[in-house]
Amino acid sequence: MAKVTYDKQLTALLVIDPYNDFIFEGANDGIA
Amino acid sequence: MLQVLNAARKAELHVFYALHHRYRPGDYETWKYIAPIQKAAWSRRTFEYGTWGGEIRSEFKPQPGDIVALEHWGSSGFANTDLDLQLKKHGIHQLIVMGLIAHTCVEATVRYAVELGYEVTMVKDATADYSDEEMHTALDVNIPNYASAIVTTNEVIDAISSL
Repeated sequence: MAKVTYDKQLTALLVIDPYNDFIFEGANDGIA
Repeated sequence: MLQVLNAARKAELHVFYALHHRYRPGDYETWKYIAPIQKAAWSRRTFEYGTWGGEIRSEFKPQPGDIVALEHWGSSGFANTDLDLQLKKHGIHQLIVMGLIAHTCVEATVRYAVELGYEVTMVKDATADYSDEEMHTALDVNIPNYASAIVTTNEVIDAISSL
């Protein structure tokens, strides 16, 4: 897989669904 | 995930959030068609609005300047939201993706991003899934068809810390 170089002006971090329901042990693991 | 987020903030990268719809009373009740994944979200009240489960974990809460896209009802963060518009309006072309769940929202969002023309990096140890099989399918079978790079947390931190 090609090594990617990043341009600061063109790059973003995309964070998907960091909800408590997903991240904590024993929380609601409803599929989403 | 937190290491990547902190590194991105330190590098002054834009941070965008793609968040699943938070269940609210009345949701889905009048829909004529409902996908299995939405039935599950309905029956379990996934990410119920106003509850602890529907809150973003404290370490990951958006900060001033972050962009929180409209909530998505399926799996892709792009479908029926303003995520693509917001990214384009901020001049973003490259996405570093992390979050949950690997074989549903993450994979769907990666696929859709590539369809829309973005160059995607997947951080493979900044995601999770319900089973090893689902994780394997997402990270080793499906996402490699779309992501330009699949990297570790350390690798992506090294790359962005020098920006």
